[in-house]
Amino acid sequence: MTALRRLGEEVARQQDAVGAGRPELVDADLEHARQNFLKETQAPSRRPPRLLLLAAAAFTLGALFFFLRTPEKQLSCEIVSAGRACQVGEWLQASSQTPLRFSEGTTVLLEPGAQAQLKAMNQHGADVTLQDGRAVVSVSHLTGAHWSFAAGPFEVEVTGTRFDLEWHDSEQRFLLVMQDGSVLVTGPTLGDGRTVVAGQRLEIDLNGNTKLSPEGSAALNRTVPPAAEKEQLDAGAASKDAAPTGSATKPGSAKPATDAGPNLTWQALARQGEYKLAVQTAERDGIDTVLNSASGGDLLLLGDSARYAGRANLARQAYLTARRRFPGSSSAAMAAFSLGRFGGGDALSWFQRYLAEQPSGALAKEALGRILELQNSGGADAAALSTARRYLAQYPSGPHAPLARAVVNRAAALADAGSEKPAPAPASSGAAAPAPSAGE
Amino acid sequence: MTVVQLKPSANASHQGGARVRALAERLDDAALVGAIQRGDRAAAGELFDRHAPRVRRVLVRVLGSDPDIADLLQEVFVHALRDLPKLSDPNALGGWLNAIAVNLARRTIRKRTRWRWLRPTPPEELSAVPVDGHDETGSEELVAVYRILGAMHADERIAFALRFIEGMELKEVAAACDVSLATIKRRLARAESYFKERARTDPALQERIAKSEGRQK
Repeated sequence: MTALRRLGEEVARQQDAVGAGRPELVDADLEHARQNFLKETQAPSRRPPRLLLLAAAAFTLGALFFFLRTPEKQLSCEIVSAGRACQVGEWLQASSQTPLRFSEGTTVLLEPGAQAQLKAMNQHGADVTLQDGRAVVSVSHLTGAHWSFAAGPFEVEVTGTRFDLEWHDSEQRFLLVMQDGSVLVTGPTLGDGRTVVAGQRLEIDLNGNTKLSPEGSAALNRTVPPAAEKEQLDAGAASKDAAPTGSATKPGSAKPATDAGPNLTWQALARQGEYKLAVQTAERDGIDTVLNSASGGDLLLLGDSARYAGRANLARQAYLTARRRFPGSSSAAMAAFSLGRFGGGDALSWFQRYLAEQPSGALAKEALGRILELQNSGGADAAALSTARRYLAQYPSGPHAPLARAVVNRAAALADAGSEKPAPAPASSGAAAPAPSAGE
Repeated sequence: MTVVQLKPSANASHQGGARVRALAERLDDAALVGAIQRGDRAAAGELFDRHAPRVRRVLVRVLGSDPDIADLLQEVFVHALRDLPKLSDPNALGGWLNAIAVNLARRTIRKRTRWRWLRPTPPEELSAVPVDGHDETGSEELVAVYRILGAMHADERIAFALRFIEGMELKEVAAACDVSLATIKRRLARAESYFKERARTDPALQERIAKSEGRQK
């Protein structure tokens, strides 16, 4: 075995040891990538009718597999705006819009005043009780999914993907507005249940009066536009995490835009990895219009697409627009992080802004690490030392911890030797407490 | 937003559920590809679960510990799903995914290299992202390796990482890089020469290199 192969094996061993010692780091990567990847797969593909027979056979096979499959990973749920996990059995009262996001992509947006309980959760889905108020639900249509939503005495069996659910306890009033797919509702006065499909609205009052509106009225009655819902779901999460599955759905249409053949939206193209095409489509739509009308999450998506397509100026424009139009939002903070990724003289300032705006954000650790790198390499010794100490206090096992230790140790050694100016630590990381900076 | 704990109420005990079909049995790669091409989204999830850990490892070997690994990993599978009709031999799915990952890693390296003049840090330092190691000495060695790799030409860096760190056979490296065996041998020779030259003067690596060269003499 050559020396290089032995060295390579040692490097590989150390890299693997990181994963073995801190499996959550690897799991986080895999989970993040898996979720986003599965979102990409959720647009139904067009298949010719002649394949229906095969699809039926696959369904039968899938049903067989359902009983034979191996154990799957348990779902998890995050209260996005609170930046913490939601526990099974926990009762929630939303004083403002409160987005819950499940690890397989399902989202439940609790409207202000809503009270709900995450009653149970397993690898297939969850049981959610809406005690009072309104929830906007988007269930990822994955095989094996098993979701249940209870609202008062009514139960909603999920066979579709997207609906608004209301239960007003004081009025004993139930309302279901289907956006996509279909559900089966069971409960008092409904006999064997009532199927509600996309575009329909089911309302049941205290006296048991049941009113099922005709198709086409549901979207008109929707009070939360998809863009607003999307912006809420973006809160507290990275841009790619935050793109809800239904974001490509046109208001008033039950059919996702991604199913529209060549007429894909720029968002759909971006999520398919067609970054150049996405940018071209956005430009065809009118870049000023897009920039002025897109949600915060979509602006990040446009920025990312432009960045991947090599359109740095447009990417910067999109990120800066997100910061201008949605100041104080998580999208604005994510835009700051993305602007930092361009490097250059402003990079440090952008990472600092992200950290100041989202001190507990999904990328806080990375932002602090990058600040450390930039300060260390830039010769900002005191600042680098301060950031290194902060990094070690917050993330003693983080990816930049070795560099932070190097900065601290070097400063200590130089102090012992009577030197006043420590040299940068070797691996381009520096530390200094990032200071919130003024707006751009 | 505030979240408060509430007491459960009496009428909050309803149950319900939906049952949708599931993909469960372990298909071989060829069957998995077929299922995906038929539009089975569960098969796409299975594709990810089966191959993502290895693909992630390839990305880490080439790029080192990198905060963008998760995004790159996602991108590999998105590209794979899009290009699946181009896969001529479904049984070669693993190698094909490796090739996509390597291609994406190459683009990432080149993109970062193009922007080096914009950044305040030399590219070799930016590429030497430290990892969360348990062994301080080992971590320095690891960082040093990626510092040198960061200054290499992208194609040579990839060949070096796949051959010496990931431990691939020459044919596998050639396939992952989509070049001939002769080309990959030339790249490896250049990479090895460059690496050794830099390692001889690197404090974290010079002792190891000197020992190995001493043994050879």
